[in-house]
Amino acid sequence: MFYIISLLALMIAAVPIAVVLLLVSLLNVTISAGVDPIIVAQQTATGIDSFALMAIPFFLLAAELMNRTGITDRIFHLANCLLGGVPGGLGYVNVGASMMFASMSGSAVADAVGLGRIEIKAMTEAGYDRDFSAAVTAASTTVAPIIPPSISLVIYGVTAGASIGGLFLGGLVPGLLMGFAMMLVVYWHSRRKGYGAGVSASWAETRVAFVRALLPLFTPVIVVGGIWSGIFTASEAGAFAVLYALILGVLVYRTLKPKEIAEVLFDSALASANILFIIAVSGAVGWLLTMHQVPMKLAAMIIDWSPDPQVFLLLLNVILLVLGCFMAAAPVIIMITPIILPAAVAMGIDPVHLGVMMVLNLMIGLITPPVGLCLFAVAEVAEISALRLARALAPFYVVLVVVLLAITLVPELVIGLPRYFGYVK
Amino acid sequence: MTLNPTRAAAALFALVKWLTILAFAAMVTAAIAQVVSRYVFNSPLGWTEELARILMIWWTFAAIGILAFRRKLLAVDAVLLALRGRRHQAVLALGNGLGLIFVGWLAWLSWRLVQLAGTQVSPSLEIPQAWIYMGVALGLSGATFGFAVNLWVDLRRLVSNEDTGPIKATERSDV
Repeated sequence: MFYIISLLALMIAAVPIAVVLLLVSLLNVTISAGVDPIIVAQQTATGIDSFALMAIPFFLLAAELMNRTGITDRIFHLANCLLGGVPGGLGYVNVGASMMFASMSGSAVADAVGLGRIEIKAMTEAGYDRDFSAAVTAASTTVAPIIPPSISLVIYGVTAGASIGGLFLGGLVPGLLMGFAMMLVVYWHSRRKGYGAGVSASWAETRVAFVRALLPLFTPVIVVGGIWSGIFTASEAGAFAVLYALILGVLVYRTLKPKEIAEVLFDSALASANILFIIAVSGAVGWLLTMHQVPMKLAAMIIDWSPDPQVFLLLLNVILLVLGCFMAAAPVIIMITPIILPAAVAMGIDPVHLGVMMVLNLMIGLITPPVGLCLFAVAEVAEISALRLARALAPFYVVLVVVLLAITLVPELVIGLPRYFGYVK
Repeated sequence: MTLNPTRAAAALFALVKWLTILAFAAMVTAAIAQVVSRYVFNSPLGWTEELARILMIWWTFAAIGILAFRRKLLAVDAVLLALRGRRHQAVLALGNGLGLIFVGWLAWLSWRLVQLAGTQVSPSLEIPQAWIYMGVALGLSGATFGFAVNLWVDLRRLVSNEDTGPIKATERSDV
């Protein structure tokens, strides 16, 4: 109880999450456990001594490198040739381009700032209203961490000890469902507003666009294909994605300058360190939780209250949706997973199902006020207020929650593919 | 001439920035070398994974110092965004004050760990364990310094009642 109350109070007061976790573990070890607190320092140092965790900086770096290489233009152009000719075409293009980008990058923010700029400009210039253009851009960023590869799924996989290959496969169908659901909103809105069709691309134009985007489109084949076929571990695949992005940016397209590479390295290091610090200090908290048998007691309590896994998952969804409105996804995953996983497993919920559900849930938080990161990033690009954007996002919230409910209540949507490929029993 | 702590910290962390970039780049190179040696040349290098892991500890803790000084450590900033004036400053000071105490405590414990590591070495590169822990201790000491400087700034602003305005969420985190 002391852990939960102090955690909540200090977090609300904007104390850095890692500092709050540190405070709880240092005080608890010293006062209630009476152990030498040097154990916390040791747990912190060894907490990130893992090759598996390296997938986080690698996928972040690869996403940033691809953004700066200018492949986003190529992807947008290809999506435009394929989908631009129908009424409300650019809305579909927006969702489609985000889905293609999602298969190369695992970062929603990279999608928001990279593709977002191009998409909003193209849509507003073609006469789409600014609010809708921004809304479809923001909503479609949420697909990046669901369609593999995904940084959030890597964080979950490492925290839960679940197979990252299995999680990546598990994200595929929900990611496609999200894309389809968002396209339905585009259809509905375009009919209501009477948007006309864009210019249909000729076969020759589409072929040129495809050739221009071919090399970037190879990324998912190599990276995700490499993991699924068992050739690469997730970290090796991440390292390979970095190498491939560097080859494209420096040797093939020649758009990356050395100074830019240094900047990208630094930005990725900072973003990764922010997550890794929380992972490092949560090692000691995890040690304490296990010592006090908190996850086991909680599991027993929940099962005692309702042994129905669907009730548990629905309740968890509500809690995560609320937490996601106020917190970034990574710290929620790192803190919540070790506490709830034993209860979930005891109820027969597959860790892959739980992980994909959690990440999809927390991605909705990225586009909700008061602190949704993609909400603010896109609002800034579109030059509208975050609140106005949130209002325009209302229909997207509805369809995303419907997809969330679908994958919560029908686990096969998530674990069907991983089961087929032998990742889930 | 008196020494300005903010300027001293800015100069220190400008240096740490380049060390972070170098260590991060070296880690990426080591990991790519591992992948290429295994899949292209079919003869995996044994030491690259260990080197990459040690480098990750070094740059992560170096970057934590920079994040602390730049006030960019992940936090729940909904309340902070809604506050103005003295209240805003007080909340900022609380975060930096607690950071100073508890990260400082951890830094001190990490230095003890460096002393205790003795003559242990890593398995393939035989790098002394003390060096690995020193990366943690140095980084956390840097972060403690960053928190201290920020606290000093916050308290001065609190006294003079200076409004720094809201911190944008996009400046706080990336994932």
